[in-house]
Amino acid sequence: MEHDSHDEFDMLLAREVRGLDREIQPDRNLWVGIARRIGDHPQRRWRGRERWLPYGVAASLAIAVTSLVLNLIGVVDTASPEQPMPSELTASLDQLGADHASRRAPMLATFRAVNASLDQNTRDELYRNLEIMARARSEIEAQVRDNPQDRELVSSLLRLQQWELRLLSEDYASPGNTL
Amino acid sequence: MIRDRNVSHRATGYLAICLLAWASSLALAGPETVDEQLVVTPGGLTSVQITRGSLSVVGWDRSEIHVEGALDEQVERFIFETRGDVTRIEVILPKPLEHRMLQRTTDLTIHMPSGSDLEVSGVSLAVGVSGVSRQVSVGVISGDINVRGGRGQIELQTVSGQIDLLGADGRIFMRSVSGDLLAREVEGEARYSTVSGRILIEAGSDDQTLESVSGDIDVRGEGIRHLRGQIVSGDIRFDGSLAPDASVALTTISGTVEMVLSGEVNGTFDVSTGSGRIRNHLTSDEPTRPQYGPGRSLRFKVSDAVSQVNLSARSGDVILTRSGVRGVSR
Repeated sequence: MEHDSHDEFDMLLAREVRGLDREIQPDRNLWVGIARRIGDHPQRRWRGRERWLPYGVAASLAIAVTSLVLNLIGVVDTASPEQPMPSELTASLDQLGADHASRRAPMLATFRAVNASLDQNTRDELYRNLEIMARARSEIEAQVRDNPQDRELVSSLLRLQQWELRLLSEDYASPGNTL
Repeated sequence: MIRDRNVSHRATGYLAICLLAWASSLALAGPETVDEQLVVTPGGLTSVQITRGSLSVVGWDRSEIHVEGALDEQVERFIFETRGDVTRIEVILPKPLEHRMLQRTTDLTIHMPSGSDLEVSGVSLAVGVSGVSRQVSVGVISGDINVRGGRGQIELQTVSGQIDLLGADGRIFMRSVSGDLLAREVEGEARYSTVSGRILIEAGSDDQTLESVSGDIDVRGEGIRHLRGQIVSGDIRFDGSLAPDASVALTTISGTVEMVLSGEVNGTFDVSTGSGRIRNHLTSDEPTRPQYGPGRSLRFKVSDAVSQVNLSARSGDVILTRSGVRGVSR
């Protein structure tokens, strides 16, 4: 029974990880437009760093999730709702939060630099929404700590983290880049 | 006499320089208006880049693109050219832009073949599209986007503007940061995503995924087959009917989930809440409490249909009711 539960949880998180980079491919050949835009907008130096960013984010997220899975599998099913949260799970969640923070900080710095030329209202709007996401993330983290047996909450937390990083990787200052 | 002739030559030279400078400044300033037309390959791509102003794109049944309207007062260059099957329309502004009060921003109307693809990008740009029966991609920062029609991949994105889509069919992606998303009479597979905007879907497609961090979600439709909606902090409401093999999952962490069903109600319902209440007005089934800890859950089945409905609110109520039932409030 316990083994089945582990497998189920493993599958849940595996599905979440698989879903992170899922995209629907466009029907038409976009290369003509892309090549033209590359020619029209010579690449700045920081873009070289940005190229590996999605892969870095995906890799570090996968590592974090794998780590979380390994920790939670041994912990969640033994936790009863009436018991306090096991220290192993607390440590795993702390680690997940720390990993996210360490990825988020440099991406936020890049985001600020890349989008510095936007008008003040738009920048305020973007940062206000990043705050909303950060608050929502804290809210879910708190819920996970209160309900350590709730796997759907863990999935929600991972999805929101990924969404937040995706937003931080956007370059809104170059028209067309976000398409 | 020779001296007078030299003075005269010098004056003529100054005058020529002044005229040249004036002509150069006019050339640099760019045109104020445009009214141009090009013959294009049917089924190609029309690519438009305008930093600010407004743009109206109208599909027509000619193999021509016609551009007409006013250009930004700071315009450096206007590009309207066709290479292969790609037609490029761009209003080039100086970089960096002068931030001052503007008397005139770009205001263009483009007529293009209805059977061509369209992509538009801009910053402070309001975009309206109608009569285009192929793929449409629009990405702006702060302008509103209104699209009527479109088939295939429809991708609409803004940071703070509102997106309004009517009558599209295909794979639809609508994304905003804080702008509201509205879609009506949409067919196909649709994905809607916003951080703090609201999502309102009327007569939506039978396959929809909706995602919001703090904006409310409101979906109305008949015969819905696949519906997945998630909010972290906000309310989510569905009003309509389900297909016999529907799969519905609506989840909020902090907020209310409400499902108002019309027509025949079938399927298995799995409902849960963490700290709120479950109000079931569909059947006489009562929610139960777990042996340990907070929360309530409810599971019931109506007829033998294969529909599956999952509704969940961590901190908030879940309401299930039939359309037209009075006395049920959120």
